[in-house]
Amino acid sequence: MIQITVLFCIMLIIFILLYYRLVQVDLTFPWFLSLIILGFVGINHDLVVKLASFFQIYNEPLVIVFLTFFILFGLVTVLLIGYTNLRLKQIQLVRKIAEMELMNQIFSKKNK
Amino acid sequence: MNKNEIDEEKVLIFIPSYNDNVSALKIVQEINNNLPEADILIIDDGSKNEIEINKLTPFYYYRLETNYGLGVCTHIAVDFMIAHNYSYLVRIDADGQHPVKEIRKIIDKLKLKNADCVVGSRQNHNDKKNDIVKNLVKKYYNLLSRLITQNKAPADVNSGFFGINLKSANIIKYQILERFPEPQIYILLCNLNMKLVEINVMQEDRMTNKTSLTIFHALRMFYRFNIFLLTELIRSSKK
Repeated sequence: MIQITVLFCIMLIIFILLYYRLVQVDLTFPWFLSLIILGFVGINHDLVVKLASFFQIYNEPLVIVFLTFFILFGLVTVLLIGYTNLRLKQIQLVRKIAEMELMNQIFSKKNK
Repeated sequence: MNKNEIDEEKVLIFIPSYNDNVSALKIVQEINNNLPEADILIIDDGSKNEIEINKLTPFYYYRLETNYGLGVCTHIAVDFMIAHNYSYLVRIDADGQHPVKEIRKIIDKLKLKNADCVVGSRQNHNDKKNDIVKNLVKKYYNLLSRLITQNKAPADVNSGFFGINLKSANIIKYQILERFPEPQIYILLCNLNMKLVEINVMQEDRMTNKTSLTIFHALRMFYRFNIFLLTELIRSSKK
């Protein structure tokens, strides 16, 4: 049951991060999903064997390693998309603030 | 072109500055002597020292608290241009490399030739023979830009000395401009069949400071340019 213990510890770490508001809850959802998938695969030996034969992997535990890599890649991609969206929103805000600030300058120059 | 003609249609000169505020102020003075009718907007892209302004300052000034890059600065200038009904926007660098006296020529071309964008192509920017890699990369940029725009792109796609009219500004406003957006702007405008005119300019020596372009920046710029070209190629093939 070591794999379940490890996954439980990761979940606990994520919960602590969420509790102290160090990470945003929506951004951790992909983590949550991937931990469930890994947990399910980790305890289900038959599924590992089936996956290994499907992907023609001779050493069955390697399936979990590949799955972990795949999930990590997915997580990084999701975070990159999230970060890009946040950056675009931030730039929109910066542009709006600049517009307002420059508008103030125009008014103060007109009223000098 | 006489003064009245410029008065009819408002001109905004946009100076992005990153740690070049001292030379930017000299350029403002030069512009005020050459083109007193034009309004000036300095966008400070998070320089270490900021410019003190008051009601009498002869230019508009906005300071970004951190370095966002030229894309965001250009967006702010374009937003300002559209919001306040300027007919033309001319961008000139704060380091003094672009000749101020050529601004009038750019405005002339925008008005009299009905150009949507006028680019000041630098005739002497490949003079430093020791920068072999830099010159090769620039040639690569120019060649590919010409290929993708069917020879409509300017000879110097990295030139930051350009002028646009309101029509082009309305297109640029809705783009996502990156850190060094010049090739992106020119290629987009060319591919949208906007009228792009080139004028030849001689690049002058930098007044102060060093270039903000490091090797890492240059590599990122190279990567970004290739990705942009690839996406443009796919987009144009879909049309």
